[in-house]
Order: sequence, then C-alpha cells, then structure tokens
Amino acid sequence: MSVDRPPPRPAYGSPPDGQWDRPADPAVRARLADTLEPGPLRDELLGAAAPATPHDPGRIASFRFTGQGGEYFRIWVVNLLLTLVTLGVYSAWAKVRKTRYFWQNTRLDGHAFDYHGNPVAILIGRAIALALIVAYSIAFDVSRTAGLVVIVVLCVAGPWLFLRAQRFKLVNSSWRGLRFGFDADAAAAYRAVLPPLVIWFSSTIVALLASDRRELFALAGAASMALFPWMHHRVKAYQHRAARYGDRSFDFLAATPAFYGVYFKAATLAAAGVLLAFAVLGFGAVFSEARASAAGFAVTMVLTLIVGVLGYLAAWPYFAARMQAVVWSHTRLGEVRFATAVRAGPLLRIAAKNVALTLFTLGLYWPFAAVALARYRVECMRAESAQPFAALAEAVQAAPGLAAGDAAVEVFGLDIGL
Amino acid sequence: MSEATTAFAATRFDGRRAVGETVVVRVEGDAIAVLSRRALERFALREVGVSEAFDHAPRMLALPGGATIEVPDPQRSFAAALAAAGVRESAVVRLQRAWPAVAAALLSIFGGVAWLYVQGVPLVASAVAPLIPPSVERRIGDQVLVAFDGGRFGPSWLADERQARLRARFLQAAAVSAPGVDVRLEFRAGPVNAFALPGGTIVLFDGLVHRAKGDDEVLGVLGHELGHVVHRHSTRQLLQALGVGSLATFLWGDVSSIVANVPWLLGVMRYGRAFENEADEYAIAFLRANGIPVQPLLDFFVDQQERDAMRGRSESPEFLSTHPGTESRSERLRRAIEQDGNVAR
Repeated sequence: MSVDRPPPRPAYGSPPDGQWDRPADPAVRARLADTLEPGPLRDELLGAAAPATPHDPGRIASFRFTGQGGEYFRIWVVNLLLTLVTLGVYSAWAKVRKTRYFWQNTRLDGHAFDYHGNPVAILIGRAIALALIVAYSIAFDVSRTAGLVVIVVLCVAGPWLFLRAQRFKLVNSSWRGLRFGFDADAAAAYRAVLPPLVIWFSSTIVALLASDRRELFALAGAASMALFPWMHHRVKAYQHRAARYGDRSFDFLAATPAFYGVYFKAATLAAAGVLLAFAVLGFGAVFSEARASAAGFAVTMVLTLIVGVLGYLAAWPYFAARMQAVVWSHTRLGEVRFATAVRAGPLLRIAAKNVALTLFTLGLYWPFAAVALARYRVECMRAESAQPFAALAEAVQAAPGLAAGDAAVEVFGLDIGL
Repeated sequence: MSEATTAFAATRFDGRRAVGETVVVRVEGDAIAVLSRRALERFALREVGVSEAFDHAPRMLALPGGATIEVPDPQRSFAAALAAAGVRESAVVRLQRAWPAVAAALLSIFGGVAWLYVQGVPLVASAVAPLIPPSVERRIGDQVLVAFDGGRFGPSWLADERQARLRARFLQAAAVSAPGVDVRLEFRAGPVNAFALPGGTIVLFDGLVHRAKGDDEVLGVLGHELGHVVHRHSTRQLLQALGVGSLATFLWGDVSSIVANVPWLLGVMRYGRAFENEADEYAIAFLRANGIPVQPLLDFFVDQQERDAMRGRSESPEFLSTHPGTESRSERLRRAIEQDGNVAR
C-alpha cells in the first residue's frame, strides 16, 4: 500500500493533496497549538490566524507521574503469575515491564522517560546475584575458610558488580531520545565502594578470625555503625558523579555532615519509638501481672507491636524524605539543579495507609501502594536552571560513540535497590 | 474512524541531540507517515518498535536509524488507529487488559501458592535432602547441640550403666532396622523429651527415662526419633522452612520482611504433623524388626495423654504436644498391635 504513495518530499511545501486535513478534534488542536513552533506547519494545520501561544521559557521543569494503581495492579498480577509458572525465569521480563511502566509514566518537562533493559541480561545478572547470595549464606556452615573466601570474593567483585549494575540501569534509561550513562572507570568504583564493603564485613571477619576477642568484635561493629552514613554518602556521591545524561556529567556536592544529620535524627526518632514500646510493654506487664490476666498480657503484646510499628513508620518517612531532599539538593547536571518538596508528614500518611491496606488485603494492595509512593516522591521533584530548558536541550548531545540504537550492549544487568 | 483522529501531534528525537522536533504522525495502512517541517516520511509498521499501550503514558515509536517519536495519546485515539491498522499487542498485554483474565490469573496464583505450600515444597525438600552431604548435616546438628549445651541443659544424671545399657540396646536395634545409618545417642538432663538433630544425633532427656516404665518404652520413643533420622526429617524441615521462607519473600518480600516471616512459622508448624506420622510408622517397623512389643510405646502415649487431660493443658514432650492428632496416633499403634496378634489390654 505504502509503495504506491508518492515518495517523501524533501522539504515541507504544500502538503500531499488533501492528506493533512486540519484536525477538528479540539484536544488535538490544543495540543498542536501548545507544541508547534510558529512556521508553515503550524499555519497549515491550525490556520494562519491561530493565535501564537506565548512560549514558556521554562526555567523550572516539574516531574509528573501518571501511573494508576488499578492499571499497575493488572501488570503486577500477570507478572507474578508468569514468574511463578516459569519458576522465576520470567522475573527478568517482569522487571523490564514493571520498569517501563514506571519510567514511561514519569514525565519531566512534559516528556516521558523510557527504559530499554534487555531481559536476558537481567536474567544472567540475577543468576550471578543468586549464586553469590547462596554462597554467602552457606559458606559459614561449610567452613571458616570458605566463609573468608566468599567475603574476599564479594569484596573483590563487589565494586565491579556495583559499577556494572549502575551502568546497566542508566545506559538503558532515556529521556528525550538520549540515553543516560555511567562512566565505567573501575579504579574509581574500587576507591568508592571497596572501603565501605571492607568496613561492613569487618565485624564478620573479626568473628571468624579472632572469635575470642570480643572487644575487637564490638569495635568493628561500632565502627560499621558509626561509619554507615559516611559509607552511604561515599557510595551515593560516586553514583551521582559517574552518572551522565547524553554527554553531560552529573555532579554531586559533598554532603557528609548532612548525611550524619539525617541518620542521627532518624535514629533518635526510632529510639524514641522503641523506648515508648518498652514503656508500654513494662506498664502492661506490671498491670497484667497484678491482675494475673492472660488477656491483659496478650493486649500488651499487641499494643507493643503497634507502638513499635508506628515508631518504625514515623522514622522511615522522615528518613526517606530528608534523604531524598539532601541527595537531590546536592546533585547538579551542568547548570541544572534539582529540588524536592518531599515532606515527612504526607509521606507518613501514604506509608501508614500502604502498610495497613497491604496487610489487610494480604498483599493485594501492594501495586496500589507502590504507585501511590512513586507518585508522591516523583511529583515532589523539580529541576531548575538559570537558562530556559529549550536552550539547554539544544546543547546536549549523545555521548561520543554511544548514539541511540547502538548503545553499548551490556552482557548482564544487576538490579540493586540503591 | 473520524477525520479528527487521524493526525497526531508528536515530538521526534533523533537520538543524537536532546532537542526535539514537533511532527505530525498518522497511521496509513501498514505504515506510519511522519510529517515534519522538512519532509514527509513513511515507515513500514513492522520496522517500527511500538511501545506497550499504558493508560496515561505517551506511546514511544522507535524508528529505524535510532530516532524516537513520542506520541502523547490522552484520548487513546492513536492506540485505536494502531489497532485498526492491525498492530497486535502481545499475548501478555492482552491478558492483563481483560479484568476476567486478571481475576483468573489471581486465582491461579492463589491455587499455585497453595499447592506449592502443601505439596510442592515438601516434594522438593525430600528430593534435595539426600543431596546434602552427611558432613554438612552433621555439622549443623553439632552446632545445635553446642548451642544446647551452652544453654540450660547440663549432662545427664542417669547412672552410667543405665546409659550404657540403653545406648547398647538402641544402637544394636538401629543396626538391625536401619543398617548403614550413622546414628548417635546423647543423654542430657532435662524434661520429658527427646529429639533428633540433623546428621543423626538423637538427644534423650533424663525426664523421659524417668517417666517411662521400662527400657522398652524408651526404645519405642527412640525408634520414633530414629524414624526422623532415617527420613532426614530435620534436614527436610530446615529445607522446607527455607522453601516456604523463599516463597513468602518472593510473594511479599518487597512489602515487609515481617509479613514474609509469618508463613515461615506456619510452615514449620504444618510440616511437623506429617513427619510425626511418618516417624510413628517407622517406630512400629523398628520395634517389629527387633522383636520388641509395640504395647509399651502405646502405654507411654496414653499415659502422656491422660496426664495432659488431668492438667487441662499440654505438657507433653515436643514430639507429642504440637500435634492435635494424638488420638489418631495412638489409634495407629493400637492397630499395629492388633495386627501383631498382641491384643491390647
């Protein structure tokens, strides 16, 4: 059919006879009026008399999320069924379909993100991750040497795997037709990720090599606790500094004290929750002991659990909201800054509703919960720049040697929740 | 299809720069026509990668050569035009579009998980258990025993000759009914109880020896524990708990680790009963093979039940108490005794 049509015309002149009628649908007209720059195409489709809408210079671009719980629920159910039927093999395809749903429903400045991950690569990545997890969990039952070997393997392979995982995620994400990217500098990956890994395993290593040195074990444990915000910051800074959009590098301003502040306040909140839970437990125990009441004891246990869960619920949204704000306010993409208006209060309401309904529906509410959380966290974000975004977009190009269509083929993809 | 829905404003990105170009697209037969300021181009639909249709997301058209066209489709009219042109969604997408199919999928998941829980996990566990090297099993058992000895259970108070006699009789009987099975007997001070650890170690508490009216009753209980060893119940139990745990983590893991751990407990409870029945069967075979009467074991069971009934609550040893089916278990022993021609009292 298309063969019979006239060949493409080299330049826009008069349209092919009668093929491009002026659209009558008001929605289409409105969309065209919004997006068409002044010129012959606009005149042709909207009529020369159509008023020129003032062009928004666009110095603040907002993020929008258009996913719906009911729609994602159906995707989730089918993904779950096929994963179950294929004994987990389909999970890689499910991951791609889920990520596509969330990416394509996330818009920045009116344009959607896209995800291009290859399920086979994800499957291979999952097999590697599973092998490492199984090795780690049984190695200590086999022998001390085996445990040490697995820790060494994890420390040696960890930074490299982390690099590949980040790279896979970003290279397969795009916006405005341009891929994101991640600088594959192995030395930088080891500098950033190896120290946290070693500190993290230090208490396990002490327990393996010198089980009688309790003070060493306590020291290693305390060190990994005290250095956790530092480790988190180090990994996050590496992650954001190595990221690219097209040929532009992201940057991350040092924020170690801010990380410590967030961790300290969240830990204080959590500790207050635990103290309150213990207070309820103690009071209830004394009360039910005095009445010798088994029912009183049961009620006490339930109350303690509720207070504990509430404490956790309050600490988590605070932590998540503050952390998102700190991370993004320190991230730059050239002249573009990011800001987030995420607040602990609304996040707490969403989290409480999500947990309650998910428990109440035996997990069936989970996809609705994921969408609600994503919507709030995405729509709180915005990008700001001194220059109009249209002008910025003019300048950004694909990274050299990495035009769309021939994006580096990643052999395997790891998905780490970082 | 009305005229109004045929042309769609869209943005084309060439894949080399971030700047987009406004174009108008429309579906023409089995091709997509793209009209820009510079040109009118046509691409055969089969060469264009069309993204899955979501309710509120734009459609992404991947053109040959690396360019992308983003078509906002708020009215779903572009989707309708594509469908009219014969662009088929994948079977998976069609499945998830229809609510009845989604409901059927949900029911299948519930059915599948229920089957896995009741049959699948135990099947896999019993198939995998023999593949675990005995040395690993023994090491796990030893770790449990060490943890026990570090706790409140001290060495046995039983006279050495009583220990030696019981051990000799049991090991001799075990060699008859389960030749080649590596089994050890450990005595500990403690309540009316006995249990089998992974790797073939059976722990017998003084309380049980004192409560029993004779060595034959103790041997019956030990036969029951030997059944656990022969069928590798401890290892299978560990594997099943692991399996149910993984299943739960898979289903609910991204919701909460607390929720995911509840079925773990249920798993441990449920599988207990099937194993106790199997161990009872083995105890009967064990006693018969060694010419020891079954009656003493039944007496021990009944005695425990009566004590429980008197107290109004269960204080039975672990291998009796967690399982409400004690009635049917004594029934099985009674039947075995009748078969043997030893008529019960």
